[in-house]
Amino acid sequence: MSRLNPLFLGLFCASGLCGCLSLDPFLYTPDRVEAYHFEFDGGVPEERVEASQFTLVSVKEPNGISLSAITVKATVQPPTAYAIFFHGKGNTMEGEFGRVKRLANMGFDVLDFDYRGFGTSTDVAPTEDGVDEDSKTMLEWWVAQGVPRSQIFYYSHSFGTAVAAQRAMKDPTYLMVLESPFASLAEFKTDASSLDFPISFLARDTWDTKGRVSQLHIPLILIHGIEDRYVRPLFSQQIYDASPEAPADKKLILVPGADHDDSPTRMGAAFASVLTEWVARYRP
Amino acid sequence: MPHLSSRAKPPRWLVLVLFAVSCANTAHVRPTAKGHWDGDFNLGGPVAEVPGVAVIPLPLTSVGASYGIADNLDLQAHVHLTSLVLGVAAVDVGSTWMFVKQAGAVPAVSVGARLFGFKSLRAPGADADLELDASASWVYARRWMSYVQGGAYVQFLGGPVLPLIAVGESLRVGRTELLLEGRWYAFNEDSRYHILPWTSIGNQGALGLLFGVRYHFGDQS
Repeated sequence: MSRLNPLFLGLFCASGLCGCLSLDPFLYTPDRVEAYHFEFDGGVPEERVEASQFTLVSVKEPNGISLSAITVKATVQPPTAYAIFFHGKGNTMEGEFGRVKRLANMGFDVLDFDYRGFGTSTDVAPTEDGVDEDSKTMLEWWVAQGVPRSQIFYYSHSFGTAVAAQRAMKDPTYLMVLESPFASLAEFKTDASSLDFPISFLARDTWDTKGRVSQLHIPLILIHGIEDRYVRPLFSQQIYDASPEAPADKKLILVPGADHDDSPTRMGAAFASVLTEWVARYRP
Repeated sequence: MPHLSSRAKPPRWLVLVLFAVSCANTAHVRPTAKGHWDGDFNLGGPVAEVPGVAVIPLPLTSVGASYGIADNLDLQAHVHLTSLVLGVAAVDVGSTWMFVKQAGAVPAVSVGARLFGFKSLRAPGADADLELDASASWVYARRWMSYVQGGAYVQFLGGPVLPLIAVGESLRVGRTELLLEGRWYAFNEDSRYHILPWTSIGNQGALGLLFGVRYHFGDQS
């Protein structure tokens, strides 16, 4: 049964009653797992790493919330750079491990983590403020492990793009990669309905990536599948336009034939070459 | 920028946005008689695929009343109930003026205007929209009425003007009038690229289905 079915039944029943139903809880669909089962051999060389490259850790926030995280060492050491990967909302770290392995095979040490409520992280409801605390905690933890802060860039997919932009507002980086981003919850709503009412009618969280990017002077790569049927490529164009970076310092890659999840695969060798070139260009 | 994607797959929660500010009012094509009251209840809205449920008209609801302030002119007000579930208070006030009376095959012609106000009960934010319409209606066989209406929904916070056309039929039984109405919302908008899976004609706008009950107080024959 769909997660929303009870809600719709509730709407039928509750019509006429003054309610305070907020959409916030429905923005997140955290996947819970009892334990992780990471596949080290993804079937293609780009998605194959050794178990020895991999570490699973648990990191505690000051408020007691525990976050599950992995680090994957670059296949060739020493790494050329360090990447924090922010995954989408329909997955745990496990579900997007393929991207993490690709980054490791490009020469980057990678940190990935499950936001609160996801995977085996503490089962509390995610919020925009809460996820902000999570990404801050993980960045600080990694730096405390000896990773040079200046060498860290952000790679993100889908919902994770909003988290990366949020983190970049407080902890800027030298390069941000947004794969399949949405512009903001407000843009999502308008796109769905052509209605101009304030998003505050529905949700407290805004996830305003476009607004945040417009204030960030950070080189930017946007990757979006032209056939994305979930988050329209139009959103990447909007974010690209909002970025104050000079055209030479921002790049929009629209991937023919790709949908929401398979742009790296569809891009083939170009995916690695673009990333490694841009990291080399902007890494301090 | 040109549209780049084919029909979008809906994030499920987005279907709910329509509950916040959409209205269910059926067309009010003939003013309430001077000095009399009508009460009405309306149910329905744009037809969309509610993922995991069915393709249905969204179950928007409104209740309202109208009063005839002059010959062929009334005032109306409605409270929109479904939006309250999301903590959004929504009301509209408006008027219908019939300036051509039916004469044989020549229909009655009326114009109307309704101002909608929306206010979140739990967060900052308010919205207002104006609906303008023109209608033609034919009463036949004493109890039946057919009507057509064209209208425009003007949004004050920067959204596009959304046109609509409606056709409907009403049956009067005693003091009660039953209405069934089909609508075509925003037929100028290419809904292929909307995230919500509307039911539409040629991927333009969204079709809607509404049901209304109107009760005429007093003798308005």
